[in-house]
Amino acid sequence: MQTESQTPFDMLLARLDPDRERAGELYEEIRLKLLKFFIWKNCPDADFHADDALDRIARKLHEGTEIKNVNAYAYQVARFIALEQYRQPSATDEQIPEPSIPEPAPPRMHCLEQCLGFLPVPDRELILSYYEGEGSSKIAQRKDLARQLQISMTALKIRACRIRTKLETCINGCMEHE
Amino acid sequence: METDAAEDRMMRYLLGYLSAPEEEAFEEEFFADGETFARLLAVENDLVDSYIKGELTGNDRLRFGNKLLATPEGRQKLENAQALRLHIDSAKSPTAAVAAAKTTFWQSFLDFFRPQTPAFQYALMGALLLSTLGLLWFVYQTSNLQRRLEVAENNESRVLQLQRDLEAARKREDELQRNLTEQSGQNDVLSEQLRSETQRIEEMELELANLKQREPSILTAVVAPGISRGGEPTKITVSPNVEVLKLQLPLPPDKQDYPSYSAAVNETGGGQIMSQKNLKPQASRNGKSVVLRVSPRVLKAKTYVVSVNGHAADGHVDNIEAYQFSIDKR
Repeated sequence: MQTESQTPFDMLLARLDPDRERAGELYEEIRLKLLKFFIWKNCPDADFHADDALDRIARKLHEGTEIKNVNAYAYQVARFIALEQYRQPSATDEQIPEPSIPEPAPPRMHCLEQCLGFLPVPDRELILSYYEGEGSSKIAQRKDLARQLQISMTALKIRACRIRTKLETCINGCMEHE
Repeated sequence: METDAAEDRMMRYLLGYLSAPEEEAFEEEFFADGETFARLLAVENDLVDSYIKGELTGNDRLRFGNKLLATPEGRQKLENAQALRLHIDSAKSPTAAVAAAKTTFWQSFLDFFRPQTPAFQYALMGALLLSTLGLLWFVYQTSNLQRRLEVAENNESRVLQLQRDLEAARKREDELQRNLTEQSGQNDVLSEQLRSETQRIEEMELELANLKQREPSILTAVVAPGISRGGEPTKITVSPNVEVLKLQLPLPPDKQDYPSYSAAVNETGGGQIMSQKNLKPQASRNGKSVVLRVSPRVLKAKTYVVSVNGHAADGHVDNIEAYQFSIDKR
């Protein structure tokens, strides 16, 4: 229910879920999808465009536009912004020089250690175990891990990915203060 | 990397192999379905890890690498993945000992830190970094010194030559300095001598002046004989300091043998001023002369006539000659 005191952002959260905390989680999920979408589209200002898309959605809601599926609507807005601002370079097989892989700077290692320390112990152990090993031993270890946690491989992959995303978000935030 | 059909589609999406309609359909799907999106992120992580490990090859590697490194977020992701891999490699469990045997020196070195706490490990990593930087600096310095040494060796002969030249120049400088000192000493002596001479000259000049002041000034003037010759009288300029005027009166050659002479000075057309007897003839360059001493104070700026008589031994007096002179006082 819209009230006069509600800001567009509040209206968006309310539209996502009546529970403010859950709404926040969903908001972050949508934002991550938007961010990744723009990154995968090679948009240099992915962060800005992700927030811009969310602002547009919130404003539409505030203006009274009915949005049945916020995720689907978010994709349409994101696609419009991408078309509006950028043209995705077509992926070709032309031989372009392979870029060099940047080495992680010492501060990043420090941030990694710090952020690993912030993770709950089960999450820290899971992610370290998940990425441990090479080749077939790694696959075997993951199957063993999924068995121990009594979850599917896909669920394990998603769980590990979420922990990693959390970890990377923490590292990037830490690097801004280094 | 084990994949199923769904993950294969995700990989093709991330690598940019999907057609535009397929891409749009898949994007709608992962926006609508959280699990698909989560799996997509996991596939992306796998691709990143494969890229780092070198498991991604060919066009896939080129496509993904260029896409990943095209954005700051992509580069961050790559660096985070590398950091995570480094950490995990450094913290491998004993069960991975076989795999560890194949690891690189770097990984083996990191294993050394495994039993330690993360903070201690990081401290050691920092120390290692500092040591590496120190080593690089040492190598750079060594290389730099080596280059300088080579340059120095190449220029050794030149340096020796310059040293010899410098030594010679210094010797010359010392010699010049000594000469300069000697000359300066000589100059001092000469200056002293000159000063002394100057002082002596000044003293002599002063003494001379004093002497001149003290000595009576005598003016000798040769007066030509004869009045009747129509010539001009001999002009005598008498300065104030002249105290005695010596009139040298040449005797005619045939009248030089008188034992004595007398002379009288008369004003032209007027009276006698003074007279003097027993004048002895004196030899001079022009024969014999009679010298008459006259005080200038009795003379005025006029023309005077001097009459000379010869006194023979028998008392006989002969008129010898007359002399005419004019006085000019200044």
